[in-house]
Amino acid sequence: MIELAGTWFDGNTSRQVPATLRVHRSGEFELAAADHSRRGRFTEFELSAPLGDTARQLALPDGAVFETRDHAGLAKIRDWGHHRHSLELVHLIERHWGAVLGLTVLTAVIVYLGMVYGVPSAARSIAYALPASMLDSADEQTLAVLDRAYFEPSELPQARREALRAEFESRTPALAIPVRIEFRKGGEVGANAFALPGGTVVFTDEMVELAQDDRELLAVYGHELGHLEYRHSLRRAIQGSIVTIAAVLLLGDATATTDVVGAVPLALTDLAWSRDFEREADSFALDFMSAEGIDPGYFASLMQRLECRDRARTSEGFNQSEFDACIGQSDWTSGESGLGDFLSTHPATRERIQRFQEAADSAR
Amino acid sequence: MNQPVEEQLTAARAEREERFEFTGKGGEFFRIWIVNLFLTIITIGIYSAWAKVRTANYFYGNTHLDGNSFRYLAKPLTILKGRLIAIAVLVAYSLASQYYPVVGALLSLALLAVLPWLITRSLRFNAINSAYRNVRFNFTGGVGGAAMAFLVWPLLGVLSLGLLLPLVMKKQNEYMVNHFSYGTQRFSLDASTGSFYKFFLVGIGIGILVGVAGALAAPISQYIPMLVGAVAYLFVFAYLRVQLFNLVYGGTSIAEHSLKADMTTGSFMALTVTNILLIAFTLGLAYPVARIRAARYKAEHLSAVIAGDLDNFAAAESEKVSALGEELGDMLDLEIGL
Repeated sequence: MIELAGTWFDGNTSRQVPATLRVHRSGEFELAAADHSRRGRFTEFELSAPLGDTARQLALPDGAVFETRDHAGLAKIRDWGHHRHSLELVHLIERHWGAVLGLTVLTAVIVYLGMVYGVPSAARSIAYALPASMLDSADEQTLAVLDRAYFEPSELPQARREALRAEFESRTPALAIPVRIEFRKGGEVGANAFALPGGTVVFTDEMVELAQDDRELLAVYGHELGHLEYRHSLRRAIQGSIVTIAAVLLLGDATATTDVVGAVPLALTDLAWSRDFEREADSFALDFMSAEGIDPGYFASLMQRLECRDRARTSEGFNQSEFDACIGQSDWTSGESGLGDFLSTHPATRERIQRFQEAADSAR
Repeated sequence: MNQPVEEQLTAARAEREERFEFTGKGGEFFRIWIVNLFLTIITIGIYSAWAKVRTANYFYGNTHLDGNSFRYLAKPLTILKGRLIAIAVLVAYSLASQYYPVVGALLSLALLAVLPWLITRSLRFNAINSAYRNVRFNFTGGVGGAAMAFLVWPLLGVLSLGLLLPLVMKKQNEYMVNHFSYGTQRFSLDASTGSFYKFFLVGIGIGILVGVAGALAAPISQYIPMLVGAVAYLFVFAYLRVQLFNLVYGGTSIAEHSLKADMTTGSFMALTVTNILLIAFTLGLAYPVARIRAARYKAEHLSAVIAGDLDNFAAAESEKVSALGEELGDMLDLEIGL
């Protein structure tokens, strides 16, 4: 027989009474409280989960509870086979420092591999499993919002726009998503080109004017087609969703403090994924250019001009001599990688120019 | 009433102050936390519902008042169901707002409309699944009251350019405390509007003074204003949190018993800064230790003034509440609760 000392709560009020629970090997129990006694089978009790050193509650169906901290006594009753909580094994591991240290390392490895391989490949599978037509009408809404916020209608001559569009369309390879080409006056957005997930590729007037050869624009077009073909927008959104959900599930009860501490690594990971997508789109552009017989150097020359234009733009306006000096610089391959590289959505311009220049050199 | 009985009653109702006590240990919770993380990851998130219950129960079970500890009674399966629905809503919402801005905006409005319902559900779920001495807490606030406290009053606060903000805080806390009950007995909050304005103005005043001092020191070194700004921000943040805690908990009573709260800004700042450093320098491994420290700090600064004993609270009829409100609130990062 085992005797457990504890407290009895009747289930109707907050009154507590000191009580003793006697449990026999046969599985019968007798409960004796100051003003109350009961007998029955120990299996009538619903036991709370074993957890740290906290008190265990033994609840009867009518809501009455016997509470005890006699963990050793309960363990003996368990060994008699009269109860076994489903989290007993979890509790056993939780008390074992060696097992926990092993799990710590294992968890860190799984989280690392999950972020590097698991999440991106899961997002890729999900993105490709979704029907390509899902985002068909999405672009219209997004472009309408962008038009209101940033853009003006294109001021390029209509003939120029139509010629460019015809040129792009004639060279567009077969993709899962139909491609539509749009021109807009960028305004404060400046020289830029981007692809919306539904298949709309937008060039700003400034970008068209910055290019000195249409093959430079084709190079950019190839890069944007890469984003579309590989469904980068959708994959990044899915990756973001997975990470958000995982963060809530793992740190669901996070406080403001841990939110801040946890947000930094998540933001850095998102940026690293973004840079991977840009590299993938650059690879697509390289393949596209070689299939179309365009010198990869055209991509590099446009990137250089974009970079130099940014550098020459000062608070006093555009500095032509600085721009010329920048364009004239022959060596784009040197330069240190800095902290800023990890805070950027795109790989370092230097790295991208180098890649296309090397491709151009080896093609010659 | 004859004299001896009255004397007896007075003796039985003698007031005594009991401190809350927290007995959780960093090392012990670290092990529970790691096992939670590991099992959650290898079950693709399913175990997270059990992990949540275990974590909550660890903190409840180690919080003692007058010789008894608290209990968290939510069933993991209930939480899992709420979680699955909340995830579906979150994914639909985030994808819609990313790709269909118009649909996304409409969904935001819809979420805003159900926000009061969400808040009442979350508060009720947490209350009903918390127990002390085998009697559950409860929350009986209605959706209308939540809409006033969490939509209408904040809107007025914004429209008044912040002048009404302290009053908004008072309304929200009154709504939460006054509809909170232990068994069948309601809690009540007694805090004057003036006291909310007072701590608000003092906090902002200190922030401005420190900011001005920092700006005056700018000629000495350009880093001083930055440093002073950071310290001022932290101080004001800590000051407001501490004062709100003291005011709301300290003003709360139930039947003839009441709570007393005595956090101080300096000690709370020290706790917050050391916790952030601890987490940052251990790459997150000390997160469980930081949580234990925060819980111990909170318990150390809270006590109950008990008149007689706590034997006479009657349990209310039990009812079941789904976890959807609570889980959706978590997913949307709402900070609801006391």
